[in-house]
Amino acid sequence: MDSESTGSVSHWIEGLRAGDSAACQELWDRYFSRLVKIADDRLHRMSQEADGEDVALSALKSVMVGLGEGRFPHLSDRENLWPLLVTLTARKSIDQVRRQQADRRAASRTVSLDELRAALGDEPSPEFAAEFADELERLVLKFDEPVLRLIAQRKLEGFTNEEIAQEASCSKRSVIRKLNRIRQEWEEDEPVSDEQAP
Amino acid sequence: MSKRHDSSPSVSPPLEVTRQIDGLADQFERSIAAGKSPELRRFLHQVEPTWAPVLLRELVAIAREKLADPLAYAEQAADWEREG
Repeated sequence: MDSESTGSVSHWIEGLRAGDSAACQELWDRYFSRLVKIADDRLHRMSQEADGEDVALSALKSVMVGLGEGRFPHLSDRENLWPLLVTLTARKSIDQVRRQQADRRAASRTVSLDELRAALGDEPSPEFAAEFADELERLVLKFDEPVLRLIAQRKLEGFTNEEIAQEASCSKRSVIRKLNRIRQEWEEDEPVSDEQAP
Repeated sequence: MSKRHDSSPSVSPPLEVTRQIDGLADQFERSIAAGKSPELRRFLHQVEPTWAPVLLRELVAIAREKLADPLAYAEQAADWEREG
């Protein structure tokens, strides 16, 4: 991982901007299964019928098409890419559940215009936004070391490694190393399942 | 993708080792910023030989950054001194 794969992702992002299909494949191989897991986890809390693969596919497609069309001009490496993919996956999970609910309502009775607008809203619900923010806060606060909290927080806020290094009074290399560590800590952060919860 | 020519292991270290490498790299950086010349071997001997190349890569990268911008490191050293 670390600098070599960070460079690879930056390279793929540039490839996607240039319409390179091989870059699409690389991005797919790297992120699809992880996004399916996130989408499945999110969807299963809201609906038994929704499909995480559809959501992950849609999120990846949005980024691929968006880059090809010149959107996300500030997207440069995997530090920016992963939060973007997670956010899109979360939003699309909600959209899918809303669509299912809207379909069910349409099948059972006539849907009013207001209900349709509510069902098709394109923003996450306040409850989900709050839950998402809580989860991010929990992940940041899990670190006892203040420097890890600072680096995680600032990265999520969109600061560059250089800006973070200045604030943390350390080298850029240390910021990169600590971001890799943070990523590994989070990957191994197993949420307590419903069965395990007291 | 470019071919690697170093002897770094192809898998990532386990989390415990990642934490250890992170801590040692921090010590190395502080030592360098304080104007000392830390011995690489002293640090490398503290990790399992399998992971020494991973630590070495970190230490070399830190040292390179220091050489590229010595003034920035002088400022960091002053910050750390103030923090005690």
